[in-house]
Amino acid sequence: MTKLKSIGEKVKYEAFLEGKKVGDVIQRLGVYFALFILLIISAILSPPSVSPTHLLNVSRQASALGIVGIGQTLVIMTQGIDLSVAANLTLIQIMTAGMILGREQMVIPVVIFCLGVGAFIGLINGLGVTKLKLSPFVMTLCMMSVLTGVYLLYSGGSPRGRIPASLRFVGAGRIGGVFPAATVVWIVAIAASFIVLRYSIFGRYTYATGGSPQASYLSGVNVDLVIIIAYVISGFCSALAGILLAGYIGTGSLTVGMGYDLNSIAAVIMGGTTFAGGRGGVIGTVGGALVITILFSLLTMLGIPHSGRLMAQGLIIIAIVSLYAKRK
Amino acid sequence: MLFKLLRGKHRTVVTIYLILAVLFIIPSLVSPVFRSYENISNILNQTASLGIVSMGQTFIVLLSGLDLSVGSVISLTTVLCATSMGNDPLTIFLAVLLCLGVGAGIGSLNGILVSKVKLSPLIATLGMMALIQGVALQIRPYPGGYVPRSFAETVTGNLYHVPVPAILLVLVLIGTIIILRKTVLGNYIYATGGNEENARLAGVNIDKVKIFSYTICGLIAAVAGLVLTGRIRSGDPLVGTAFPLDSITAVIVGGTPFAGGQGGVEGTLAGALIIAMLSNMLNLLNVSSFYQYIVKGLILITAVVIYSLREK
Repeated sequence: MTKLKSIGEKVKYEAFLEGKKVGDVIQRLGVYFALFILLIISAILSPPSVSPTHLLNVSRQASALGIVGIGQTLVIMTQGIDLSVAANLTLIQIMTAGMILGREQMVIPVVIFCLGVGAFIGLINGLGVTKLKLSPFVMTLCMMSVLTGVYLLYSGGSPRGRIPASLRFVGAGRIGGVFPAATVVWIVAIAASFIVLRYSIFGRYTYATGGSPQASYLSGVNVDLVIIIAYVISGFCSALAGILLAGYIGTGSLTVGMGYDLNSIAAVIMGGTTFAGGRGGVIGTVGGALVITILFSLLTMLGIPHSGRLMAQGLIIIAIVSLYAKRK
Repeated sequence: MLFKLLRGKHRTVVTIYLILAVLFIIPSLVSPVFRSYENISNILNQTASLGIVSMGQTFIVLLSGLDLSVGSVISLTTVLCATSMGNDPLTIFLAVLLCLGVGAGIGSLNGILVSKVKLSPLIATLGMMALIQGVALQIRPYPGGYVPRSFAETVTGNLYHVPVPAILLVLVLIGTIIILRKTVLGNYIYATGGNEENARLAGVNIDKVKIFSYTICGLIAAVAGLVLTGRIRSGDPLVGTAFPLDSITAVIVGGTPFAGGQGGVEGTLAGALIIAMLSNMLNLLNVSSFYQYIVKGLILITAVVIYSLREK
C-alpha cells in the first residue's frame, strides 16, 4: 500500500511541477479566460444576458452537459472516449418518463433503477475496451448504435410518460424560488468528482493510467479496473443527466440527447484535458460546458439563427483548442 | 486454394468478401425478390453514396485519424447543387465544379488543422462539421431547391443496364486503389499510419501526406454528395448527418483497423455493401427499421472482434 501511495505522491508532485509552467497554467485557465471574455462580450451586446437571474438559468441549462462532461473527462483522461453518452442519456430519459408514468411513489425506485442501467451500460463499454481490447471509439460507437435501436424500440418511435412534481422540481424547479435545483445536483457532482480525482487512490490511479498505462501496470495498478470504473462513472453520469432532463421536459423525448456526445467531448478538450490522457480535470470541463452553453444562449438572445450558432460553435471550438495545441 | 488465400497476405480482404458472398448467396437462394434485378440495382444505388464517402474516409483511418466533417460536406453539396443549378448544361457543370472545389477546400482545411496546427483529428473535424453544417443551414434552412431533371437522370440512370451510381462507385474505387497501391504517396500514407515517427525519420513529409489525404477525403465526400443529390433531387441541409459514423463503420467492418497503417479501400467497399445488404434484407423481411441500429452495432463489434482474434 505504501508503495502505491508513493506512486500517487509522485504523480501529484509531477503534476504540481508541471502546474508551475506557464503553458500549463494557460491550458488550465484558458477556458475560464475565454469564459470571462465571452461574458464581457455578452454584457456589451446584450446587457440582460449577464443578469444574475439569466446566469442562474444558464447554469441550469448547462447542468446536464456539465454532468455528462464529468464522466467524459474521466474516460478521456484514461486515453479513451465515450461516444455512447448521448444515446445513453436519451434511453434513460425515455425510460424514466415511461416507467414513472406520473406516479409519485415510483420516483425513487425508477431513478435508482435507471442510474443502475446507465452504470451497467458503462460497465459493458469498459469491459469491451479492457477485456476485448477494442478501441474505445469503436466500442462506444457500437454501443451508441445499439442503444439508439433500443430506445427507438422501447418507445415505439413516440415516447410517452409523465413526470410527477417532485422530479419536475429537481429538473426545472428553483430552491427558494431562486437557485435552480439542477445546478445544485451539478455542483454536488463536480465536488464529488473533484474530491475523488484529487484525494482518492482511484483518482491518482486515473492520472497514472492516463499518463502511461504500461508504467502504471508495472507499478501494480490494476489498469483494467481503473478504466472500467471510468466508463461506469461515465454511464452513471449520462443517466443522471438523462433523469434531470426528464424532470425538466416532463415527458420522454427522442431528440433530447442530440449533440451531447460531441459537445461533451468539446467541453472536456476545451477545458484542457487532452486525448493523450493523464492530464486535466473536471474543473476545466465545467468551464468548457459553461462556454458552450453561454455561447449558444448569447447567440439565441441576439436572434442569430441555428445556422449561425453552429458556425460560431465550430469556429470557437477550433480557436480555443488551437490556442494550446502547439504548446505540447 | 481457399485455405491458402485465407492465410495469405490478403486474408482480411478475402475474409470480408467471403462473408459478403455468403450474405448475398443465401438470401438469393431463398428469396426471388432479393435476387431480382430491381432489388440488386436498388442495393447498389443505396450503397453508392455511403461506399464512395467511405473510401475517402479510408484514407483518414489509414492515417489513424478520422473525419467527422464528411456528412456536413455531403449536406452542403446537395444544398449548393439545388441552389445553383439551372437547366443550362453550363450551370450544371459549374455547380459540379464548385461542389468538388468546396469539398476539396474543406478537406485541405481539415488537413492543415490536423498537421500544422496539430489539433487532434476528432476535434478539428468536429469543429469543421459544426461550421459547415451551419453554412449549409444558412444557405437553405429547409430541404428544397431545384435539381434539373437532366442532372438527376444522368446520375441515377442506367448505362448499358448498369446503374450509374455503381459505375461511379467502381471509378472511385479504381482511382483510390491506384493512389494507395501504385503511387509513392500511397506508400507514404501506409508508412505514416503505421508509425508516424518512423515515417518522419525516413524522410516522409508527414504534413503534406496528411493535408493531401484530408483533401482527397473532402473531394470524395463531395462526389458522394453529388450522387445523393441526384437521388433525392433536392437540397437537404441535414441529409448527411449519419454519414460520418456510418462511413467509419464501413471502413472498420472492411478490415482497416482504427489504429491505421493497414487495410485499404477494397475491404471498405465490401464493408459498405454488407451494411447496405443487411438493411435491405431487414426491409424485405418487414423488420422494424429500429432494429437496424442494433444490427449495425452488432455487425461492427462482430467484425472488430473477429479481426482482433485473427491478429493473435
